[in-house]
Amino acid sequence: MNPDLITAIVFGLFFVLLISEVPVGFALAISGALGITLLRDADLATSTLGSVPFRETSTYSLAIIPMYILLGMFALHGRLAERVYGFAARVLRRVPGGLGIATVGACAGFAAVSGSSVATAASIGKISVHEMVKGGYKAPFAGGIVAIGGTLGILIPPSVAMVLYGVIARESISDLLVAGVVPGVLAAVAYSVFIAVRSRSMVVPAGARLEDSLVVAGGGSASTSAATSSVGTDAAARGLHEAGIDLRDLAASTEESTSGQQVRGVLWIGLIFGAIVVGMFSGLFTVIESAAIGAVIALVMLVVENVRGGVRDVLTRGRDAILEAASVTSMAFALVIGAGVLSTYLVMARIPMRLTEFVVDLDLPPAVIVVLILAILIPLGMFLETLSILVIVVPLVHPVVVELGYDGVWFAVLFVIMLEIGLVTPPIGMNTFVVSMTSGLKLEEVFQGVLPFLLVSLAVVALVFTFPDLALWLPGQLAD
Amino acid sequence: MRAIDEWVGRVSTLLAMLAAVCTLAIMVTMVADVANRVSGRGSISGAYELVTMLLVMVVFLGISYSERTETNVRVTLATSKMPRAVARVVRTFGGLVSFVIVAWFARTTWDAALVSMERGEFTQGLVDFPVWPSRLVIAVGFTLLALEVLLGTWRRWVRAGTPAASSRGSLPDHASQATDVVADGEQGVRA
Repeated sequence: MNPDLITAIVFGLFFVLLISEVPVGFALAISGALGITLLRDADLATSTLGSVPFRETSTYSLAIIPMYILLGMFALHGRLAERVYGFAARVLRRVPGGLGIATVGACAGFAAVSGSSVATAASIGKISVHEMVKGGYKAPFAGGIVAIGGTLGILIPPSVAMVLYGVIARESISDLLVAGVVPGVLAAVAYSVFIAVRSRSMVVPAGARLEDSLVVAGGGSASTSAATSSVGTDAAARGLHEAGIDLRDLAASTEESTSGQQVRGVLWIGLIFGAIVVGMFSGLFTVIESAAIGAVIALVMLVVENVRGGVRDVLTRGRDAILEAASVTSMAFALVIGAGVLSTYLVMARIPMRLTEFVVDLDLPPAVIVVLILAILIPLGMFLETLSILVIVVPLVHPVVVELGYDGVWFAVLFVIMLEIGLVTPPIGMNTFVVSMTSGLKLEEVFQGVLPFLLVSLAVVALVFTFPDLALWLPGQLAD
Repeated sequence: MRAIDEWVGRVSTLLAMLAAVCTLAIMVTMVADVANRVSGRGSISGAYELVTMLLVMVVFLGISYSERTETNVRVTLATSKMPRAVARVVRTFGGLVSFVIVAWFARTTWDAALVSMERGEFTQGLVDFPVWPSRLVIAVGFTLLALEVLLGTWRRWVRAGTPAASSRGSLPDHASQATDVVADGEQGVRA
């Protein structure tokens, strides 16, 4: 059978399976196995299914994935997010848009110990949206700030998305993680400046008319949560669950933290992030080992910071964190295994090579091709979640971009920023669903609030695209 | 059927706990290796191979629990827009197709595990580490995952047929409960 026809059947089947709620990892494996069967025979497909699970998991460097997930889970269950937010809110309260900037700062800080955007948006969102609405912020503006701030989770290291990109594209994981730092900080600064500027019109000042305050605060009432669509609720529940977050924990985690706890929270984050950075730059230990050291520090934090609640509380938190980390790790590797089967078919059918030849032969400037590839990620982000897009698209487009003469690490950063945009674009903008669900805001309010921030995100993409050194300078220092 | 479901659920949870222990073991092994190296005693021999083996164990001991708790990534956008009866059939079709691929994985990984055990397969490095335990865990993990996929399909079919399910859309049980708790939490009530 013609390879082009087989490829059309493979992707057609993949689409049908996605619609049928087949888990993405399984759908990838089924499509790949069918492709191999049609291209060669069923025996080869069977042999591939027998070898891929071991081949794709028995790699030392991949141990960084469960370590980053474990680190994030300890941070989450150790209530680090709310303490960092409390600190940032206290310090920045008097700055224009201070609470909003504090939210972005706390998101960036929590992102520095958690590899998940959904976890970041959920943990910071539950507390910060209500604080902002109480402080006079218009509800959509408050929701938009958290949704966009949460996206920093997959750009600032540790980032599970960056690690997976490195695994699939065979790029250096250390370089990819380090490359996300400057664009991540740049994005956080850009969002903060935007918040400070917009706060004049989006925040009702103290002493404003009672009716205005009520209109603003109305967006955050409990009753509005019922207006969230069932699709959004479902997606948010799934997103939270895929990130290993139990909503019961979030509901119970709104108690006020003391200033001592807040300061210690920031110090813990500094310590964990410091360990990761030392691992990247000093050569004392590898970036993979630094993830394990970060996880140990986070475990110590969980014990020290929660021991006042009793040993039983600490044990429960620790057990939940480890169990959820194991479950989320299996989920992430199910995607890797499925992608491994599909990639085997793609390589057998020479699809990436033929796609590369086709694109290189196009009479278009290379920069335009890269822009088109990045633009395709926006509609994809509307229907698929982050890791799924990564495992499906990277094997196809990464070789093309490298063949065009661009740096793979630079493209990875742009790719991940575009994934971030997908996290807040309807209808599958996972972060917006999560913010809506955890804060009680209407889904459409969060979408409305996040839209202006998308322009800021696109401006950051344009900057990194125009000045590749923004992404490549720090990895260069690593090499030196 | 319910008894089988509960029994399989218990086994999945038990294996997930073992996976959790393996996750901690990876962390401890890596940190101990770093400590040994920094203190000038060199790397712990076999640490590299042990971490690699533990990683395989973490993934496949936890894989059935991950399906039981519906952590695996699914796209629910299309089914949530379908009429309930249609969505029920489509989901069941998806569940059965999932079972076929997982059972295929299970069969072929059992073959690989048995061959590995017969040959006494091991890694060739500083320390010779046996590979067959990892391969055995992969086969066991996929077998239990196949059962979980089948039971999950049955649970979703039954749930979609009950009147209460229609008001909840396609939310899994745990997610529905969690949503309730948050909604209650908004009004200061803890379930």
